[in-house]
Amino acid sequence: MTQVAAQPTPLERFNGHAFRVLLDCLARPGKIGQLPSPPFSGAPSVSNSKEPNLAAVAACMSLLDQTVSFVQAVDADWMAADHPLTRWITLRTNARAVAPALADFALFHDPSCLALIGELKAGTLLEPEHSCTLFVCVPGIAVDADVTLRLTGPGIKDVAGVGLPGLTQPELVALAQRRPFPLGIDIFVIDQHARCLGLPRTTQIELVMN
Amino acid sequence: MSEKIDQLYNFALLDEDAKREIRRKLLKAVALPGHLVPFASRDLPIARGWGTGGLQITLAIITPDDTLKVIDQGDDESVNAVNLRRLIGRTTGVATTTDTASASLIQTRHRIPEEPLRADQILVLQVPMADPLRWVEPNLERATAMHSESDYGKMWVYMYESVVRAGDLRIASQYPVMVNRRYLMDTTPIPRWDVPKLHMAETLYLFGAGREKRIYAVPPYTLVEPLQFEDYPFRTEYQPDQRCARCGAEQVFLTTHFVPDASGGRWVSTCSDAAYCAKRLAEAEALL
Ligand SMILES: [Zn+2]
Repeated sequence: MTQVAAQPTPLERFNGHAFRVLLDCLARPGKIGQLPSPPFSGAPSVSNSKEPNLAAVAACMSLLDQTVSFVQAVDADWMAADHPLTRWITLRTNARAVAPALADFALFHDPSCLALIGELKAGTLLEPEHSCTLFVCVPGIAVDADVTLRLTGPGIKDVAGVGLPGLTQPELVALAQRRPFPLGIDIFVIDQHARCLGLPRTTQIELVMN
Repeated sequence: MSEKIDQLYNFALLDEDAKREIRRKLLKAVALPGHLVPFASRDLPIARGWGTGGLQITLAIITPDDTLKVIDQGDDESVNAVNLRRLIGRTTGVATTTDTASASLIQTRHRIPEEPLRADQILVLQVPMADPLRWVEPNLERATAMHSESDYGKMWVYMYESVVRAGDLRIASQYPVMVNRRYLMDTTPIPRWDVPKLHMAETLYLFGAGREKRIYAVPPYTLVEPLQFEDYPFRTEYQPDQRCARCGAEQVFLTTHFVPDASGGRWVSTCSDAAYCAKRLAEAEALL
């Protein structure tokens, strides 16, 4: 068959591949997806002591453009609109940096920011899709050992178990807190190995006490 | 093909902004099973009525690694299916197939293939009419308000009055279902035979309605329950004595067509899923 279109650029290829991983993870909570390697580097630091999780930044950026807005947080605090990383993302996506309650997308650079999750928008009954999509960076996601979350709901055959080692009890409680459906925040948890866990608002999350 | 023509189109036709918008809406659709999510719905260089909603979803999610199957009325070789497959193939370079089991991405109208779909496959359905409440509430805004409250009393009454008491089967061919016990969803244009395939499935189903500008989804392992009554349970089109005249399959959805012969002709029923029928015939021949 004769082709009449260009092959995707590396960034387009990444965006397309990353989307399929995100879609699969959100459709199958508990399944751990592997995000592709970001086609760029050189993102500014999040703080003096912290480099960003580039896989999470790139996955979030793959969905950003001039029609949507975003907010970032680190160390349990919102980041300023003039933070170098915020400006770096804005420059590359044209997405607007806005206040947490308005943000279409949120990027939490560490799990302590989960304390802020209640400030994000959860949509309305008429427009439940006008809710925030949240990317949370965590140290690791464990599938076999040390289950900390038990998941049930659409996309899960019976019950799924995952572990989020390194998260404190209050962080896990904040993550597990869901709003009354159809309102809610849809979450992607992404670890340092670019592994991805989807937690759509339909997923009921039960904490497993060890 | 010249260099100039090579650069005529984006990969998968849509520009990145259009793809991104559809991708964002698809994620929300998956998080809200059965809920109609508005999207911008672009004009595409194909005729109306060709299912641009489904096509836009396919173009937004397809990657160079995909293997694509396109069916229309269950048939890979229908004019619409051939044209759409050529359009997607030429603007992406992806491999295409008629074999359901070999496809990673299946775009379809009217049918869900007979062969069970797997977790590593995605089915994209082209939808002509998205909102089941059009039967009782033609105003889209008021229908959206009813969906927001899960206010489906009118629909239940309408179903009972028209189907059970008046025997009107028009709605039975566009059977409404409750998804995840929250949103009422239309199953147009798939036959009732295919409705149970949506329930607790392995596969992700994505729906696109181009004219109504709506995207929606049924994730895997999601409850999809037909509206039904004790005195009128949900039933598929299945007839106990039905059989494909070509391959002999019994548990399939059949289409009936007129075959002329010397004595005038007769009506013959065969598998609607043409690729499935052909596969069964080939398997049977291999045994001889
Ligand atoms: Zn057959």
